[in-house]
Parts: sequence; C-alpha cells; structure tokens
Amino acid sequence: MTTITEDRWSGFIKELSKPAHESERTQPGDFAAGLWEAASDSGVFATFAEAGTHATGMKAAISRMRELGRTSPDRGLTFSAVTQLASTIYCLRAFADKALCDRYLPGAESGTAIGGHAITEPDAGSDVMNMTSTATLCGEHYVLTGAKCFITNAPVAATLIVYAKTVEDGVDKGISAFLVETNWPGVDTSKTMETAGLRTSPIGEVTFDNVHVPVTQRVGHSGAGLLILDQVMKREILLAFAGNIGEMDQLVARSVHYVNNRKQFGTSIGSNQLVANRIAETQIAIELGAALLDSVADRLDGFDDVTVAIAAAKIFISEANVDSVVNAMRVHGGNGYLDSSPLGGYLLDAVPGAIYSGSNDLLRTKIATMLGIHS
Amino acid sequence: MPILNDVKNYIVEKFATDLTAEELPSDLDLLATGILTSITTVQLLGWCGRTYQIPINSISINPDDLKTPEGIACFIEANRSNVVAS
Amino acid sequence: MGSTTKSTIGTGRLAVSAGKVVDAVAGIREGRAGDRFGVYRAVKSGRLVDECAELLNRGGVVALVPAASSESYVEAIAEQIEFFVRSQAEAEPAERGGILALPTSGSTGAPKLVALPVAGIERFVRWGAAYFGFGPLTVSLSLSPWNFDVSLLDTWAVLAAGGSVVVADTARLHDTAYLAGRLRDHCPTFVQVVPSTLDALVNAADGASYASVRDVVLTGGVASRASRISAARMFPRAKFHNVYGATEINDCLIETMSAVQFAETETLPLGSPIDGCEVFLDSDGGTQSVGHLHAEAEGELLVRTPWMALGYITDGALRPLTAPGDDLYPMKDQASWSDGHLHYLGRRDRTLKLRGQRINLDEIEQAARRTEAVGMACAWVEETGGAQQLHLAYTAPGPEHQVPSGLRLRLAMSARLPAFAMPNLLHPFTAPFPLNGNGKPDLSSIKSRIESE
Repeated sequence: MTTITEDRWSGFIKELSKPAHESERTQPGDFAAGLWEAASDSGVFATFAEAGTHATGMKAAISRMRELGRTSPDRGLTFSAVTQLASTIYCLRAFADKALCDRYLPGAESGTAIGGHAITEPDAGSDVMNMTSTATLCGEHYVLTGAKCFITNAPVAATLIVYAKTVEDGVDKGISAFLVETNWPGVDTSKTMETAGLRTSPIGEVTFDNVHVPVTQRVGHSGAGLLILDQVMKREILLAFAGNIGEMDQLVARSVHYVNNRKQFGTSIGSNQLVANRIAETQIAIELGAALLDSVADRLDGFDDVTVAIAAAKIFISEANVDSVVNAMRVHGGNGYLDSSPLGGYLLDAVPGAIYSGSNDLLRTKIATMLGIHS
Repeated sequence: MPILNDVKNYIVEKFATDLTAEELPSDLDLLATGILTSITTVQLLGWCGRTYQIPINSISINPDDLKTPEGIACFIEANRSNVVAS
Repeated sequence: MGSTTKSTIGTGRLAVSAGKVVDAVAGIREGRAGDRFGVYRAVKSGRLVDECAELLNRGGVVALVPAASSESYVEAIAEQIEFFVRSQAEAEPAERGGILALPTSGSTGAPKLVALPVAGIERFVRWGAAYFGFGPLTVSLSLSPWNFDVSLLDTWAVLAAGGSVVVADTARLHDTAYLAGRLRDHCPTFVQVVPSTLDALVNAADGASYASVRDVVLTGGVASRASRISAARMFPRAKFHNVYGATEINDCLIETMSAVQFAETETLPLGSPIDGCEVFLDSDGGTQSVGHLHAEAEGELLVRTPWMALGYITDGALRPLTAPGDDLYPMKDQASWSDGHLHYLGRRDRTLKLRGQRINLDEIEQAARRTEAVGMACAWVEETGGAQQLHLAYTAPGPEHQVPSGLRLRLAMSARLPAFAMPNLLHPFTAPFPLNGNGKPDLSSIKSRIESE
C-alpha cells in the first residue's frame, strides 16, 4: 500500500537506520522528545485512521511497530508508541462516540497529545477486579477518586484512559473507562517510577482526588470497562510484541555482522556451527512469533475467542526476546558485555516483557484453565 | 424461539446448574441474581461468538444488553452472521 | 431412669439416660504441687461430674473430649495434658488450682486446648445461678455435649445450685420421639440452645408447647427468625436470652427479652455486658467501652471477663490468650453499635475478597436465612483456575416445608444483597447439614456430599 503516509513512514525509517542515529546505552529517564516528534511526523499514529481498526489496520500497525523495533535505537520509545496506539487511539476509535473522537483523536494521531491508560493499582495488578478507584455519578459528571501506578507515558501524557469502578445511584455498575485530561484539577502525574530498563519510556503513578469527569468523557457504556480493556489489551499485546520481533530482527542483523567480521583461529567465528546456531534460533523465533501475530490479527475479525492464541504469542515472543538478547551477548563474547555495547540495555529492556500486559505465569495458568484443567 | 431456548439451556448447563431451562424466566436479571458475573459474561460472549458467528472482538458491547436471557437472545439476533433458513 | 449423684463443687442431682464414663487415661503423678490429671470422654453421666469435680478440687487438670473420640485422639490429648502437668510441677511452685481443659477447633481446624481455671468457673457458676435463679427446683435440659463450654451454664451451674440436669444424648437429637419425651417426662424449667439444637427441639415439638420452661438461652450463633418464631410458640411462658461468648472467655454479653421480642426482632442484638465483664469496640474512632458508645461505630469486639481462660495448652506449656501487657481478648468478630444496640456483623475471618469486593460469608448466610425460605445456610468461595465462585448450600426452613427452588431463593436474596455478594452456585439439601464437633455445619462434609452427587 503506497499512501502519502507510507512514503513519509519509509522516509522516517530510512533516516532512523542511518548509523548517525546509533546511540549507546540511553541516559536514564530521558524521553526522546525529538525522536517522538519525528515518529509523529511520519504519520505512524494515523495508521488506524487510514487502515481502520480491523485486520487490515492491525496488520499495518503490526508491520510498522516491527519496523520501528528493527530500526530504532530507542526501545523505550517503541514501547511508548505502542501505548499511544493501543491505549488511546484504538480505544477511542473502537469504543468512543463521535464527539469524544473528534475532540481527542486529532491530538493523539498527530502525536502532539501523548496518551496512556491507567489500570494497575498498588493492590490490583493481575487481579484487576480488586481495583478501588471509583467514579461516582453526580448529575452530569462523575467524581473520580483513586490511585494508579505503572502507567506508561503518564509523566508526559496529556490524556489518560482511566479504568475505575462505577457507582451510579448507589449501585455498583462494574468497571468503566473514562478519558481524563492530566491538566484537570485533582489529577497528579508528578510521581515517576524509576525502572531498570525501558528508561526512555516514562512511567509513573497518578492520583485522582475528586476529579470531575463529565459523563460525556466516559468511553463506551457504563460497566463495559472490562470488555473494553479486554479488547484494548489484545491490541496492545499484538503491537508491543511486534516491536519485540523487530528488536529481535535488529539482534540478528547485529549478530550476523559481528560473526562475519570477527576472526578467531584464522577464520570468522560465524563458521562455528554453535555460534551460527544461536543466531538461527533467534530467526526461528522471529518466524514463529511474526506468523502468530499476523494470524491473530486476522482472527480478530472472526468469531472465535483468541484469548489462548494471544496468550501464547505473548508468552512465546517475550521469552524468546530475552533468550535472543542472551544469545546475542554470547555471540558477541566479551565485547557484548562491555558498557559501550548496547546489548546490556537490550537485556534490561527485554526482561519486563514477561511482566507487562499480563504476567506470563498467570497467562500460562489461564491457558490451562481454558483447556479445562481443574486446579 | 429457538435462540432463547439455546441461551437458557447454556445458562443452566454452565452456570445455574441447580435450575432447569423451563423455570428460568426470560426477563430474569442474571447479574442481580448472581447467575452471571462480569467475568463469566466474557465466557458467555465466547459461546455466542462461536455458536452464532458473531465478531465479538470487533464490536462495541453494552453489558446491559446481556443482563437477561431475552437480552442475550436479542443481542445474538442483532449480530449473528449465520442465519439458517427455517 | 438414672442415678443420682452429688458433685463436690456444690450439691446437685443429675438424671442420666444412658452411658458410662470411660477413664481413657488417668495418670496419677505425685508432684510437688500434688498434681493429678484425667482425660475423659464426655459421656454424660453423674459419675463423670463427680470424678471431674473431685480431681479439679484437688488442683488437678481435667480434659473433656467429645464422647465419640477415637483412642488415638484421646491418647494425643492425654500426652499433651501429661506433659503439661509434668512441666507445671517443675516450673510453678505456687498452687494454681484445678484446670478444666476443653478442646476448641481453631480457625485452622486443629483443636486447641483452652485452660479454664476452677476459680473462674466458680465465679461464672455463681453468676449464672444468681441471674437465672437456679435452685433445687431448677430442671435443666442439657442438649449440648459436655466438652462444650456451654455446659458450664446448663450443667455445672445448675448442679452447683442444687438443681437437676436432665441429659439428652447428643447422638439422639434427631430422634424426635426421644427428644419430645425428654421435654414431656421431665418438664424442664431451663434450656440452653445453639442454632442446631434449637432446630432439633422445634422439629421434635411438632407444634406442642411446654409451659414449664421459664428461661431459654440462645448462644453460639445466629438463629433464623423462623426458628425463633417456633421457639416462642414452644415456650410461651419463657423469657429468652441471647448470650454471646467464646470458650476462651465464657459468656460476656446478654440480651434478655420476651417471647414476642424473640420472635419479632429482625436481628437479635448482642446485649449488654454481664456483671463483671468489660466489652470494648475497637473501631476507627479508637477503643471504647460498649457502655460508653454514643455515635455509630463498627469494629472488632475486645473482651475482659472474670472467668477468662489462662491460655492454651500447647507443647506442655500454657500459651497466654493475649499479648503480654494486654489483657483484652480479641474476639475476631465484627460488631456495630447503632440505635443503642450492639449488633453482630460476622466473623472477621469470614470476610474475604470476591472478585475485588469485600464480602462476609456470615452476612450472606444471614441474608439467606432472613428470606425465611431456608433453615440453615452455609456459604463458601471456591476458586477454579483464577475464577472465583460463591457457593451456598441450604436446607428447608422446617420439617413440613419443601426445600425452596434455586430460582425462588435467588430472587428473594437479590432483594437483600448487592449483585457481587449473590451466590453463583446453589446446592439444596433435603436433609439437615452434617455438623462438626462444635455443632456448626461441617463444610468439608457438605462439600463431599455435593461432590458425590
């Protein structure tokens, strides 16, 4: 598909692949605003606008996130970009009414308004039903109170999709989704969380102190929060792990280059079968992971429940990513272990893949349950 | 109404195992009576998707529509893709 | 038919129906303190009372275990007591006085031995006799096993005042002819019940009434209103008393009311502190005596009584009831103060999170009982692969009634409970629940019965 954006996008990717952009381990906590702007200008955040939110659009977005993962030196930025697409743009396009879309999509899709979603709480991680943040209906607005944590993009976000328990007329309606602007009174995004990896993807805590949220800011129906979150997370997983696949592509490229040029015992180390196998293993995982992501993207338009397939894809790719970095380090030998090598950063950035978007341990349990295994 | 009967049979088979399809009122609030929970609703949707070819991953669903057996039957009727000629 | 006996704590006459006392282990060991001990199966007989009283009055340790206890169980308790008595003799030169050890099921199900000092029992027995006017004309019907602390009131206190105790064999409480016979033939003036024995009485009475009964004590749980209405009809001339306590502290709160009040009140209040007892409510506003509460408050009950246990006997030592420096015993029950009354909200350990919402299993069972469509209700949460389901087993409200359909029960309960607290899976029981050693519904037996269907 060649569109204006396609040209802009490929131009952006080409720029990104230039050696001049090769950076060493990024400084802690620096959100690469310049790179974000360049990405925004490429039109990446308008992917769903052009191609829709169904299989075609998802596959286009998957392809772009993979390319970004493959070419960008900044994996944190890829992660933030995925969040922008899934938490805010997909969510609005799929579930919000026209008024809300007209108001917030322009900013989100131009990248000028950064977004994220607030789900996790100190006592409610995987146990999402345990959340205590509550939005109580008072006439034409809700009063939102609560605290959320581990929110990607929160420190730089203009908007957050907040998932909270909804109380209307004293009745607990379940969880709903609300679009909240971070500059509203009562919203505090000042607390950042320092992480071991993905340091250029800002992550933080947010507190909501009696924030007035107009009823019109609710995304979708009252009580539909769990269903919306379920669908949003499916898209987030597909995109985040497409990024991981791209990062694995990068590792393969680096490793191939290295083993062809590094000589020991009079020959390139790539001629050692065991060394070459390490790279081949990563490529095998790439083929499997990428094929699974595409297959799930296709099935999203269909009638069956993709829960097990998505869980499988997420588990497989996140763990293969970590294994691939370790393999790359081993291939690079001592040179890969130097501080001047980016591989250490790759490892720290790959490790959380087994944690975010659903812990792999719990996802395995979910698969077992869905197979009918009693506990 | 075959769909309504299928829905009732599914509910008493999977959830309210102490009831029969005949005694389940069509307008019973399944959430208020504890027969369905927000989590088992997702299970019900999976069955709807598979059985009636409904693209559950791509439509916006109002949980209020799924509160009663007749609500669920209407939801299926409105969104199904495999209408069989009767 | 039976034998009369004198106990040496007081004097009294005891009518027994059957059974003999088996001295499972009676080790005599002379120590510096002159300690002796006995572990007895609590078969209800006059000789048992005599022997226990005699041993206690000599400063010995007596343990009463359920009448149907196995040899190995009796051996295990005897080991504990013997070890304890031996270590006491070595460590404590002072005379502590006799100790009555009653096993109580802890929250983990493993029995704990609660050590009750004779001096405290004596104070309690004096209160009971004074409050209920026990004397030579008192005839108490003893329904509960004698290894239960409730027997301190319906048996020991009555005997100490010179009254008679008519024994009901706890293995025959379902035999309506037998139980009705006990009532008819002996004309008891005093009866103490727990919810399960109240149901047995109502069942046995089958509409008849017994004017001889002047005082009915309800303790050990919440009785359904249906049962209370039947009880009021059965004992038309009685005063009713709702009594709250635990083995560790015996009784501490009492609410005395008329038959009409017993039948009509939606939920019985816990009552006021018994003379000499101090009861506190530990809420957000701090720890306040229930006598001084003004504003609405909710929290845990903390108690101090003149008849508190010395502690638990474990591994030969006496483990204190409370933390050092703190003699208030936490009841692990949640209560609230409103409209000038103290109300029971449920066991604190029966509060849990279900799909993110806090629920109390006692409250859910109460909601089922309050629909008046069921007799007993038992709730629990089961987790299958990450999904939590709330289960409720229930019985019919009375012998002439049918077990209500699941639909009827759900509709009735949904009027009283929010959706998140509604049971997801219902299990109707045509027979009464199997009970555990404490007279409470035995959850594991209930579950296995369901599984076998």
